[in-house]
Amino acid sequence: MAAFEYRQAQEIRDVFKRHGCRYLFIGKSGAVLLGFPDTTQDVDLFVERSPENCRALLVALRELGFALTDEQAAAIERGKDFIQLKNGPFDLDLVFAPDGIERFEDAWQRHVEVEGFPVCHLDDIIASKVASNRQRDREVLPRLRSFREYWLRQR
Amino acid sequence: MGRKKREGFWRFSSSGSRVRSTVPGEWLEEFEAAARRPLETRIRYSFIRTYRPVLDDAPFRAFDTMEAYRRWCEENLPDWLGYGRF
Repeated sequence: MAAFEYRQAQEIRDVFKRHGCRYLFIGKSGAVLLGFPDTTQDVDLFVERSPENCRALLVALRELGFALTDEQAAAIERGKDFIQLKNGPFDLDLVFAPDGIERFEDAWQRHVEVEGFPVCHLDDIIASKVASNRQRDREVLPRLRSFREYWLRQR
Repeated sequence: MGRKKREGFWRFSSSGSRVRSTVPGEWLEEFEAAARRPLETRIRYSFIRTYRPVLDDAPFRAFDTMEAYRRWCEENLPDWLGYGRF
């Protein structure tokens, strides 16, 4: 599988919008959209966990080309906390309850739009990484905090 | 001739006084360079594809809780991937 491309980000944006699915780019992929220069592999989406939104998500994922069995579709419809998809055109992590963020609505109120892409505020991305407290998060946090200072100054 | 090292930038504190930024000069240059690139280019430079053992070996995984996912990572993934918690 090739690396994630801009046109695929556009497809996510356009297909999710068409189906009315509420989501936010989060994690390092979200930080990249905000301008953070670093490398990553997966696309991380924080998705609102409501029955109608999960149904919209499922339709959108199938339209994007994810091959989902009935059992996998049921897990998505239920909005399990964390779902990892590698059965589509790109690797995608769906996060319904990211560490460090209480409610989707809170993150939505703070979110930033970049060329129509809905992205978590950098403070939420950082809060999530702090709360996860993994080795890979700790390694990136100093640079991410520096980027926050730079990013806030540019806004 | 060596390249002059940048010392970061100045910013205003919440009280209005001028303070030096804590952003290291080398990072600042990278942030500025990234800001000059179109989003399409930033995505091309940032998203990479490498094989990660175990993690990339299943087409689908779902976890009821984040705690279950974190625990699975710690119990199944090689330490060097960095998914372990402190």
